[in-house]
Amino acid sequence: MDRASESVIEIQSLTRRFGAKEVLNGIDLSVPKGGVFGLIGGNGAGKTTLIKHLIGMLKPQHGSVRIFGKDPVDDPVGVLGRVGYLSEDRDLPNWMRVGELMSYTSAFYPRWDNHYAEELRNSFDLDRNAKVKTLSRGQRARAGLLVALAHRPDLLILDEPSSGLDPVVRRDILGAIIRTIADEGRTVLFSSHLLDEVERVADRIAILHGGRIQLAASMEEMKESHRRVTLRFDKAQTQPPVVSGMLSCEGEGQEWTMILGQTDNNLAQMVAASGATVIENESLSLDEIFLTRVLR
Amino acid sequence: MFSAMRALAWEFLKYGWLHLLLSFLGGVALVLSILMILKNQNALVLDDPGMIMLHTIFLYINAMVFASPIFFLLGNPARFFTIPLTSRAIALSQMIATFLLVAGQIVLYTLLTNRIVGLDWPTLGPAVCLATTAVTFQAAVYLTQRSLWMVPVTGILLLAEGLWFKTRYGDLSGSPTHFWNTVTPGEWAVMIAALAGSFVMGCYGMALNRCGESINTRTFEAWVLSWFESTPGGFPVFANGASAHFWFEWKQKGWLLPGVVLLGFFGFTFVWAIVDRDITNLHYAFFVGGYMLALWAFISGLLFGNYGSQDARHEIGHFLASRPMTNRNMSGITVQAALASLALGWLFWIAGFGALHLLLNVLGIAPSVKFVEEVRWWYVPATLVFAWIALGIGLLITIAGRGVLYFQLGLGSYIFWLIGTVALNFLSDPSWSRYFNAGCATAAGVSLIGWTLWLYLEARRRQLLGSQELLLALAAYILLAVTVVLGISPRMLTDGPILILGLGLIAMSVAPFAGAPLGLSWNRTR
Repeated sequence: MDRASESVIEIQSLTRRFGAKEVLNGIDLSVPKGGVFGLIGGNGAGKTTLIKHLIGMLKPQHGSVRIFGKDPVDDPVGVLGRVGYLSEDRDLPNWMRVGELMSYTSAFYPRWDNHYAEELRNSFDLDRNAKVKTLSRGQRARAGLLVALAHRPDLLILDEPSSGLDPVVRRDILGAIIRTIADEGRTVLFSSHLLDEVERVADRIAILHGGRIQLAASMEEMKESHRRVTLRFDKAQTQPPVVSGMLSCEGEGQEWTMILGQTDNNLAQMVAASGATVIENESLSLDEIFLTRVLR
Repeated sequence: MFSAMRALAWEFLKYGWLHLLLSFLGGVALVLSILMILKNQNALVLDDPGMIMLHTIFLYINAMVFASPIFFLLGNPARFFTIPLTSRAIALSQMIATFLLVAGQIVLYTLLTNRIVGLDWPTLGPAVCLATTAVTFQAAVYLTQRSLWMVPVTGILLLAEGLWFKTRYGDLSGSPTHFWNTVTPGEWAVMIAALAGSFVMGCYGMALNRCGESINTRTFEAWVLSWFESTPGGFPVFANGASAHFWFEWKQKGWLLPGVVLLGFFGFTFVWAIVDRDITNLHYAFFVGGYMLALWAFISGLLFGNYGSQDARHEIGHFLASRPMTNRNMSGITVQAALASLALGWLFWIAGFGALHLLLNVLGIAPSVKFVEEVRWWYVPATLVFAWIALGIGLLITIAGRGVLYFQLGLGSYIFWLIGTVALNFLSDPSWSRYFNAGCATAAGVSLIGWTLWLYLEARRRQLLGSQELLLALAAYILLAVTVVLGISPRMLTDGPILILGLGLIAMSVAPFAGAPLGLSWNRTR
């Protein structure tokens, strides 16, 4: 089966400008079916702008966006009927009660599971009679997540789901994500700048910076390919050593520490030829990988 | 402290100078346009007692037009609560700004009107009185904004000050008989006392707000609210998304127009019972209510078209944008809910007015109002059509999520027309202003027809409209146009510009059916 047919989301050459500011520049991204996909980037990187294209709130100025092979602008029913979405601002009708919100939302989705919805409501500790405007920020996020999950969507899109929430609520949200993964064939795309959480749950990630995808890979590939290597040379080096795939290098004299974006024989050859010794070779956290990639 | 006050004043003026200027021009434009029309038709008789009524009505309208943007610009004072300013300083700075701006604008408006139209309307007394009323309203809001008492308290205070203002021009009941040309020491004392009381109330209210408190009647308020709440546990069940969304629109916005009509009946009757008790005047008030329906329908249309997550933001929110519904379906349900709301409000009006009319017939009392000769019983369905046109215009303004743009266009056109009319009146033969008005009426009519046509063609091109709907709309337009022009007002046929303007306004009755899905698609996907 080819990759395209396995993809839930296909983005090709997506470009978006707001006035003179180019927010997305030639984005190519493919999100495979199943698993958790983390979209990470700093504030203002364009994550929400990208997500808005996925749910049809923005039309590509250049390029294309396909969800389940369909254009979300042309076919909102076909796309959004299979998508559960939680926005960053937790936009919910303030005047509704939680019970009314569930009733209203359930009418749009034939696959709405009342039993599952009640199970979620109880686990999120939400009062059916409480008005949305009286809910705290964390409760509001849980209410939004409830209506996004209860119809068992094929694709769950979460925009900064943990932002501004306490660790207890964050654990609940992550727990909900993991339960969603447990349902066969479902996909989760979530954007976040809280990298420790992404690192814990994501199977694949993409780093968005400067309007471009800097890197997109599985978490495993990313961890394996990014290493921090410290070398000790016999003689003091006046210039930083050159290694292919090196993202950054610092040090002086005999000891130099470099961060490598790919590990290959070039390092071993360089070490052997220069008589250097590898005194440290460790994997990086996602936080370190991200900072190295965006601060280049 | 003074530098903080200067900073607050700078913030207010820097952000709001354009809003203040436009609201002032809009208020002046409204009054001058009516007066200039009367003057051009030689209907402006300075000694006529009706001029006093006109003066007071214009003052009420302009006080609202001037005060509304001021309250909007002052915003929620909660944003100052973390600044090292006392609650008294915050309250006083806001109320003094309101007083000075409202009074100043009324003085300027009156001086301009007097100069341009050649009147001699009083300035100081009305300016101070209405500015005091604005401050009273503001202070009452500070005191009651976290409670159910806001509407009754502000309503009672405004009514009391409004009735006192009315008595400056004549008796409490009946029409005004003289201008308020001189302010007596007693009247100064009353206004100063009202102003001082408002300042005290406002400062106290601000202090309560800062602590997150309100007037302590929570138990009573909870009991009142329980009458309007759904039965706990009794949540609606919907057959499909369309019925769910209709419920969504109705529950949020559908009650406004019928509620306003009922409130209007009770309110008018209550005031009539206090100040008048002449049943023919109540009948006239209910009759005029048919015209007022259009005003409230316009406001209702603005609300129905607002898909924003907040009242002030018309850009569609994420929750509604992510509903699995097409723009055609979603907007169609909004239009249906708006129609249903209007129909219910209109039926309430018909029932109330009809019952009173029947009562007068039974009692053998001749009503004071007679239907305009050429309109006769057409007045009744015409109120529904005018109200629908007004609702449709309001809906189209907000549904595209770009209400500010439309508002600026409309206001700009209106100011252009007024400046042209006034300038031509002074600079050349006054009949030139009639040609100018005729040109503007023609341009407006042609624009409205052209815009409606474009809406239908564009909606059809984007497949937001079927050919059957297009043909139905065309048939409805032709039927309505022929009925109005030939059946109700054949005089329009003799006046080309008025005919074209009329046809343009009639086009607005079918515009929403194409404009709504187009506007929503423009709003939902940018």
